[in-house]
Amino acid sequence: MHLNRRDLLAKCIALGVVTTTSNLAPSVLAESWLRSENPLKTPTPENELGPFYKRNAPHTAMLRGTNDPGMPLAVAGQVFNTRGDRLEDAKIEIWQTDHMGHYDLKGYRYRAVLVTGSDAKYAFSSVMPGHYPARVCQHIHFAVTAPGCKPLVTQLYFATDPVFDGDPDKNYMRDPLVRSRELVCPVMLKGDPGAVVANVSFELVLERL
Amino acid sequence: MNFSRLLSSGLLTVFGTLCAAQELHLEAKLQAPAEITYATTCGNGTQLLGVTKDGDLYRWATLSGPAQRILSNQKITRRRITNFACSRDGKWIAAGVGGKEVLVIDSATLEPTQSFQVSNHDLGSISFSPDGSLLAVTANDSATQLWDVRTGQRLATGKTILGASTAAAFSPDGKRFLSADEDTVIRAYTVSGEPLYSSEADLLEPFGVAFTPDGKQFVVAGAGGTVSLFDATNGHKIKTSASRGNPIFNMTMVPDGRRVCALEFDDFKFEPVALSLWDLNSNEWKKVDVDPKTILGAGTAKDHLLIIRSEGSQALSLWSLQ
Repeated sequence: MHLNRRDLLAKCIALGVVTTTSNLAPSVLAESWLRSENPLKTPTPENELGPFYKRNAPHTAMLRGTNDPGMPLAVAGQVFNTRGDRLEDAKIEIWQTDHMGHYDLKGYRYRAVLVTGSDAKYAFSSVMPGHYPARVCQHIHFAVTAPGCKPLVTQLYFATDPVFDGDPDKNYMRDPLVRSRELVCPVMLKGDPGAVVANVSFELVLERL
Repeated sequence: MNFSRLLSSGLLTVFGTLCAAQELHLEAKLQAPAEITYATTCGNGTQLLGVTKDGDLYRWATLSGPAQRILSNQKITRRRITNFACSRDGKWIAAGVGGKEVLVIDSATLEPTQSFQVSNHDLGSISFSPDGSLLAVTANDSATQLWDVRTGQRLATGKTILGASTAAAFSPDGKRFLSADEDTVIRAYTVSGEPLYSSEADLLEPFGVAFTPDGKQFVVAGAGGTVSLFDATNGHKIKTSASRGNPIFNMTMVPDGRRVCALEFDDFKFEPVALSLWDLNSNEWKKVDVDPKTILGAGTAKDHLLIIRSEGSQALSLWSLQ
């Protein structure tokens, strides 16, 4: 039988491998130990699903075609629950426009499904999404599901978006759908001149059921 | 006679008007107190409801009289009227206020009788049950909610795997309702909230759902630009139309039960680009000859569909679709 870290700690306490002077239940002590190792995390704010979600997207981490125009973009992060546990087998659905602000409704361009491994990490390559008249900000949609957690529907925004005028703290609400500053992430440019990639780190935290 | 001569002689315009006249017949022209941005019909097409750019709600109690202001954004609610509906018998009006709350208004006195807190963000659609006793409300942070009009109690809330609901519809017998959900699933419930079945429509999100008048089938339209027909007893799909290539964000079942009227949108600008009819039997699409940008809404009379159009900043017109 495979024991997770919490069960293993509880069992160690129950068997006396780990001793305690407290009269609390082993499961409570194990929980406390783990909490000290993994600080509690605030859930990622929710944001609208939007009108262009499409099911059955392909499993791929490369959304960008070889000759696709637009600023190359690399997004990476880890998926946790609010207890700080890394979430293995989390399913992340992502969809976005191309660099000109067009969603692909006929096919699956710039749409993908990713599944986290034991390290709970995810990463994908794409292009910086464009603007379109019905939305103020550039954004990428995320829908994340994981066993034991409430599904998370959210959107990633970019601090470099011209809409924010270089000051997302002050201007993030210029898009009425951006209700949380935390969803606006810094962008780090990496690579050689001529092959610059915009890098964004976006941690996803799901509420436990 | 060549094309340029047709244009210069004005005959092409006349021809266009005749084509439109085969489908849309002018029923009434009405004065509006201000520019109306969205409208629907009430009481089997004998009344009209419209909301102004400023978020004030007006009613035309007859199709020849002036508009009465029901709720004033500035003076009464201080919040915008975002969406609204009318019961089939015309006795009740439901208005979404400030994107969060639904007010139920007695149409005889024009006084609010109930209010429900439905959403934290934005209300979606509001639908009355056929007898006017229930409301199905969608919002962008919740699955479809079912409310009792008289008591103001929430009776049930649907469930989705992802996201919220976009539209809802009651069966003609008032015993069931359908919820069109953002996770691309159509879910059927009893009016006590018991799940009956779920169906997958298009791969993209659904934005309109409606029963056929006999209640035996239902139709679903959405961002994929298709309309699908389902068996309402078990949710099995019967057929799907060809895609229009544009998202369908608004859809109405024509009371003849044979056609669906769909308003197509440009997926980049989110502007209406065409009004089309899908024939359930022949599986064919037909474009209605009308400027889609003038359409303010649709409603139903006993045996036909009504289209409400803008006639400038202070007038609107009502057209029946034959």
